[in-house]
Amino acid sequence: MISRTVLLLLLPVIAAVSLFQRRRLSAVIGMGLFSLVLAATYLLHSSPDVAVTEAAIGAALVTIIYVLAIRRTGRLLVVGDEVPGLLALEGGEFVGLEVDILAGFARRLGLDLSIQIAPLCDVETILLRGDADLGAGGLSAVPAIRLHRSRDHLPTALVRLRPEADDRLPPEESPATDRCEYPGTSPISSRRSSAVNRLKRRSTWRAFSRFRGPTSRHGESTDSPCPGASRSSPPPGGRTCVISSARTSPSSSAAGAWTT
Amino acid sequence: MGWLSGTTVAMVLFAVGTTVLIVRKDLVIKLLALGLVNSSGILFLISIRFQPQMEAPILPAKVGSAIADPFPQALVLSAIVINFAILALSLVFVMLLVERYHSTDCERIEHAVETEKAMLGRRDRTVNPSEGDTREETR
Amino acid sequence: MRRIVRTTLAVALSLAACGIVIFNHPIAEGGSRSNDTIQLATETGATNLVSAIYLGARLYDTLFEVLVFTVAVIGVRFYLLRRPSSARAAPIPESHVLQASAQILYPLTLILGLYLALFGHLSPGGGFSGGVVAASGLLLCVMSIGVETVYRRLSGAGIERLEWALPMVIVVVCVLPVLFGRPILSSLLPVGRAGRFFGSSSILLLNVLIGLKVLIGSWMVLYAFIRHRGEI
Repeated sequence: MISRTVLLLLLPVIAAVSLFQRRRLSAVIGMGLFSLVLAATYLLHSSPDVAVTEAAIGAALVTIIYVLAIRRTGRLLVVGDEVPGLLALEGGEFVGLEVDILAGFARRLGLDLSIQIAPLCDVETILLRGDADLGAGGLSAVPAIRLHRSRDHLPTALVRLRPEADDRLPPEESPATDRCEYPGTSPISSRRSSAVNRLKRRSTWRAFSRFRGPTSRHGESTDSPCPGASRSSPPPGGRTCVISSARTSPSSSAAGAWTT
Repeated sequence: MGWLSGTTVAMVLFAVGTTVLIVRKDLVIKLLALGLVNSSGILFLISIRFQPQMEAPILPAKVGSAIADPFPQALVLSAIVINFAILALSLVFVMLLVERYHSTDCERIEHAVETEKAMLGRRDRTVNPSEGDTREETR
Repeated sequence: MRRIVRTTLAVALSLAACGIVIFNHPIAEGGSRSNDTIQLATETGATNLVSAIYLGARLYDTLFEVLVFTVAVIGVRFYLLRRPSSARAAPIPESHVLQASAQILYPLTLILGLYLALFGHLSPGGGFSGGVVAASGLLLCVMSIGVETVYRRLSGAGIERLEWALPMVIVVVCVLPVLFGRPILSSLLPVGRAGRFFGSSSILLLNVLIGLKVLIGSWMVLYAFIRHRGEI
């Protein structure tokens, strides 16, 4: 008697609270709870058949098809290299201008966004293999013809990095890093020394002054070799991607020279 | 508390359901409210013939006690399952609408449909200017 | 302003609908008609009076309800399965807790559905409840094994053929007594003593058939939704 009264009083409260929720998922789960309480009410009104049917349908099947109907269909897989200000990992989350663009794009499509970090030369192979949907991360020169390229969303400028004569980079401790090898350039090793820090502070790194500063992880190079650009001929149009800088020997002063 | 019975609560639920159906603009919430209206009707049918201390309509029953009427329960039982099937079908239509117009807001979808219809109408008139009058008559 | 007007109108209409019902519905009278109920039980051989009604006295309504269910399932499949499946959308992985617990729970749920459908004429349950509980058991199975595996195994066993064969079998079971000179929608099987498992006239058979029909229909709906929307 008392339990029947309590359940009956509970029913409109649960229904009203769950149907005036802001989120759709909260409303669906609330109505699932309402179905359970309603099944108990049917039982206390001496209709066990109806109670079993209502419990099985309302709590299990109806909730699952609503959840399937309101979820986002699958993921938008984005692969790219880290570029501070555009696509960077800070504190476990991806932040940056391109992350915002991609999040809005995924929301428009009704998909969840999922970003993976990969070296720049692997981006093309990953995309061609079909393991990802979009490539991002400050890409400007798209080498493969089979990949579609979006409009440029941000004009960049070429930078000149000129190492001083007395700057010496440490010899590479691990020749087989996870960076790509390209003829003509050799990547910076993943352990940075103070020499490179001085290099960065002294160089005219204007392009990055528009964004947030480089990531706090100073131990890794934020540059990646761009396969399309060679050293001597910068790409036309004054745009480029971020280029890795010098070799280990200080004699090649032309190694890091590009026109501004 | 004589007024608190299943019938009155069913009516309150009906009121809540229809209010939410009219007030909220989200299509999924509207469907949920419609399901609530269904459930309120079922609760009403079951609790009409109910009185306290009734037994379930399964036959080895206690001697001397009244058995609940099995008739409304039988009618309502298959109605619950069919409600689920109809709800699945209407959810399919909602999903197709959302895929097409990228929004669950019913006002935005109506606006988009009217815009599409206006654009189609304008295109018909410019394509066949000579038949413009007859087309408007038949419409 | 428009929102306020709409809200008050909605509340007023709903309360008016309630008021009409309050002042006009008949007052519920006393308990059951106990002689009628015992007669119903001995006629059909089922102690679950609800089953005795919707599979005995009102079988005609139940047939059309099965028809409505079938048409709704056909509609869902038509609108969802004619577009190419989202095979490239990777399933959003859920936690392993869900998969592990679904692995334990799905046989229990399937057996519960089978019990509800088989013993529907003796205890609470019946074809509809049994079918729905078994469908949720299949859903747990999907969560633990994966939807394509379950679909391949079920389709390999011929569940699509069973889907269109079952309404035919139900109608045949209902119409068959005419060939033997009995009235239509009665039953061929004998009525035993009320309360025994095989004592019901054809209620056991119809319960099993309707349970299978609801199970297969719900599975079709769930598969269409899962394939269209990505796996859980």
